[in-house]
Amino acid sequence: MNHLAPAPWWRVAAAAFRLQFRGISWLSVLVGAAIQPATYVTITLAANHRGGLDPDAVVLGSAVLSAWTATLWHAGMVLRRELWAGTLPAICSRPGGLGPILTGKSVASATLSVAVITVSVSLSAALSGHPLTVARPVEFTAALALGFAATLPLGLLVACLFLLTRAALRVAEALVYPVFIVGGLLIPLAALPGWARPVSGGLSLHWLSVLLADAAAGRPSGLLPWCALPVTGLLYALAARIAFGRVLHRARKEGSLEIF
Amino acid sequence: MRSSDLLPALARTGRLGVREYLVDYPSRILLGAVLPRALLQVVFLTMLGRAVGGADGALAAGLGASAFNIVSPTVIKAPDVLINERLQGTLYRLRMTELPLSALVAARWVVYAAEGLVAALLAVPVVALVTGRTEPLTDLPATLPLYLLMALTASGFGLALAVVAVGRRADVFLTNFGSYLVLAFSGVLAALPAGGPRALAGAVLPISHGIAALRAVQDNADTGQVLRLAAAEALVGIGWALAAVLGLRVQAYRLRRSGNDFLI
Repeated sequence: MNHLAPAPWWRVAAAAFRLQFRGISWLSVLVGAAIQPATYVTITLAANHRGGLDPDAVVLGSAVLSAWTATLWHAGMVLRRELWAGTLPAICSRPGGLGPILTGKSVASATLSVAVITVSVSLSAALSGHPLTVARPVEFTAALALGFAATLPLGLLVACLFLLTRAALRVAEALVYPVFIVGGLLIPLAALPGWARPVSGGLSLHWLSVLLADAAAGRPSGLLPWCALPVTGLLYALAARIAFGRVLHRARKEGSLEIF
Repeated sequence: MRSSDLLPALARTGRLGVREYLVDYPSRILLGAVLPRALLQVVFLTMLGRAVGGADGALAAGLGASAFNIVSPTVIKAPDVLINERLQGTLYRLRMTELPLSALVAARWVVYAAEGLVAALLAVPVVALVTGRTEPLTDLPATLPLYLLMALTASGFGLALAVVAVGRRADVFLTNFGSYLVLAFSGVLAALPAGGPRALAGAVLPISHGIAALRAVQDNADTGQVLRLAAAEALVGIGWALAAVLGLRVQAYRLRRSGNDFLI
């Protein structure tokens, strides 16, 4: 009896990465990753005539804010789209497995979103008369890479959770603004009530925003943000692992993945 | 069809629209996701207004944000009334009835305009709470007609976008793009400058004059100024509504010649 040897997980993930790029909906990416950050950069810098906010922090905060939107609407919807297309059961039952495919597609989605957001905020900041300057490019790049790695598991977690509820679109809509408010991304934490400030500590995007703003301004960040960013990423990865197990259980043992 | 038959038919269509809306947005979704999103959006924009403009900036942004709550239902969600008919292949049936297509769509649109109006009005106490000012609440009897007017003008804009979107496979992009255009150029976060390209764009977009009128009421401006701003808002809405009706007619004409909806 012949047995097909399963492909190594990285090859499956790489194939999923390529497939995600090929099937990308550019108009959808433009809305969340180009138009949204450009809008927030433009309106906040235009209203900031008193200088209440640091212009570089506004530009970077708008970028991180859109990274959250992209996490919800692009990475978070990766599995949902398979469900809508009717291909999810087939993926679950193939030797390649759901995990590498979810990872490959999420990495592709996040990479594209980060690239488009970067171009969008750089252009809109320059057009608004506040071109972004980075005083410490090495720290900036390191923070960006670490932030990407720490936020990716959040996308995996959201993708799994959205598969477990019929109201995924509505949940995504409702989740956008709580992070915008308590994340300290555009609104300084000092403007929040005291009870809300600690919540930002659990958000990788908050620590990413702190590190990017400090690197752009040439300030030393201290140890806390550099440690907190990977720790939050690990916590998301753990939660994503549990949620992923639940999805697989529903798919393979209960057979109720598409029954809400 | 006689006008005496038209109104009951449109009333039935409106009731059907409400039932369809409640299927898409049952009460648990409305209370658990739609309303929290609308109110949190207002909290975010009001706090952002405070961060950039102090206490006065917070109030100005809060008023703009409460009006901006009208945009999501009327510009992003309501165009589905028309677009879903195309997706489901039933648009031609609506065109075959004696009822005018624009009137049918408008009747089913009412529930989304109502959602926008309710979301805007519910945001007013939130603005008062976040800014610590009572004026948005005490001025509500005077500002209520302005919110109603903005629900209508934003609907005209949304319908014009829907007409463009129905002939293309880009409805999500076009409606969201329209919403961000309003956020960027209608003076939601802070008043628009007196001149320049932003002011020019804001002059032809919905809710920009309405938000200026809300702020004028707040600043105890004279009634004449408020009425002038309201009239400008109404003109913008009429312009977009006429463009939408014209677009529907052009689309129907081309459909009869080409046999497909994907043109306009």
